[in-house]
Amino acid sequence: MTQAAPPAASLNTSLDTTAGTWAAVVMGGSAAQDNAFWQLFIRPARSTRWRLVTPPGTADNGGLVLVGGSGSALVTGFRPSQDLTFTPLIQTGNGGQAWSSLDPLDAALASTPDALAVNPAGGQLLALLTGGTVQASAPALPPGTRWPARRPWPPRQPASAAD
Amino acid sequence: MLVEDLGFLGGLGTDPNSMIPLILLATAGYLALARVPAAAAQPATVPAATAGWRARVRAAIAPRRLATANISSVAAVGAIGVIILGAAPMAAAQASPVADTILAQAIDGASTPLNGPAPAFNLTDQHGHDVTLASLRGKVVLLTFLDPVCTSDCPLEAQEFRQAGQQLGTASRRVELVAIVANPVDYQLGYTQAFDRQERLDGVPNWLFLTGSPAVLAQIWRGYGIAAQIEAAGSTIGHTENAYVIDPHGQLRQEMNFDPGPGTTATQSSCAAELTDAARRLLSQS
Repeated sequence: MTQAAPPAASLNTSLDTTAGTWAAVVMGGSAAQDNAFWQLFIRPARSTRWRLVTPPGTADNGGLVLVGGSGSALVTGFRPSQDLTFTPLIQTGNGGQAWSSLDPLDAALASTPDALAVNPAGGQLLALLTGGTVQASAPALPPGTRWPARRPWPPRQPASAAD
Repeated sequence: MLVEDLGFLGGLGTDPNSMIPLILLATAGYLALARVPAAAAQPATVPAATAGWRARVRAAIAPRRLATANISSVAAVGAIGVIILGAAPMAAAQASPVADTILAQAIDGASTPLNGPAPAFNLTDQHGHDVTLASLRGKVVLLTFLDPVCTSDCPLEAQEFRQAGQQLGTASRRVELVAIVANPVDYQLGYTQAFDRQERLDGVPNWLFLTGSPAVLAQIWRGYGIAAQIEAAGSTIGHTENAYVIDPHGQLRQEMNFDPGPGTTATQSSCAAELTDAARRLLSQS
């Protein structure tokens, strides 16, 4: 008798920060709509173990979008799913041990891992929305948080024949 | 044990309405699928010379076959009748656009009459203004508890409230539609406002979506018997789906289970019809 292979978890995003490595993983077994759920893990610097730190309180079937800051800071956006049409935002300053909500975005984040960024000059969040527009907001980020400069989004490379 | 503990065939001990039709269906299915025993179906091989025997055996078996076929047919027709009796009203309800309190009660059970002072609250509405229960005296208050980032039931329940306001017509001036946040994480003003825009409630004059600190909210949830808990990571908040009717004197008069049920036009507005009826009754008494 052959045994079915266990479903593979799919890594969507990973971020390296001074506090460690964050990873957003897509889980769930079937292709049914809204049947996938996402989990957020952190592997603290100098540790070999991953810790589950998915932010509580919001269904994340639509996906998680991450933007990392200095130290253990991270902002997470919940892409909307089912009847939710706006984007809840939540932040941590201590590697996911405690979370606090930020004002939500009044639209759906684009389905891309880089849909959230932080303007290093002003500290505002920049959000790429599903319609292709970019919205700047000024959430109450933790005082004194330094957010790293993000590389500009690279121009999309034409797909090669091997792709 | 099969029946009582495991609910075998619906569980006669608790639900005769589902067990009896299931027994009928199982019997009909068995009779329809089971083959007639070979010995009865086919006579033993007989020599060609004894053809007279064959005729006699056939003649003897025929009534039994007929009887078996009749039992199968009657059971099958009975089973089809049971299915039609059960399915026809549901199909009619699915197709009907007419809201009815009977539908709401079929989904959620009858509401519970109450008579006692409603637990007080002092919270902040979606515009940032303080609202107390005492400040709503003189109006009927239809109250529920909603999670502003819920992806499924709460948006439907909010629409039931909106529809109740519409069904009340001019009487809605004497009714306040009130929801209190049922999420200890996403409880901030930005979330109640985003929810209102999502559900097109921001233009409803007698709609209040109230919030406060997690500690204050937890105290109010306890007062109204609402459980709101953080589920496993990545899940929505689990919370009780109740609605309350509070009379103009601040007395709790009715508690309703408020699960919106299956998504048909009629069922989705039937809780609204129930709320409307309750509000009209209280308004006529005051």
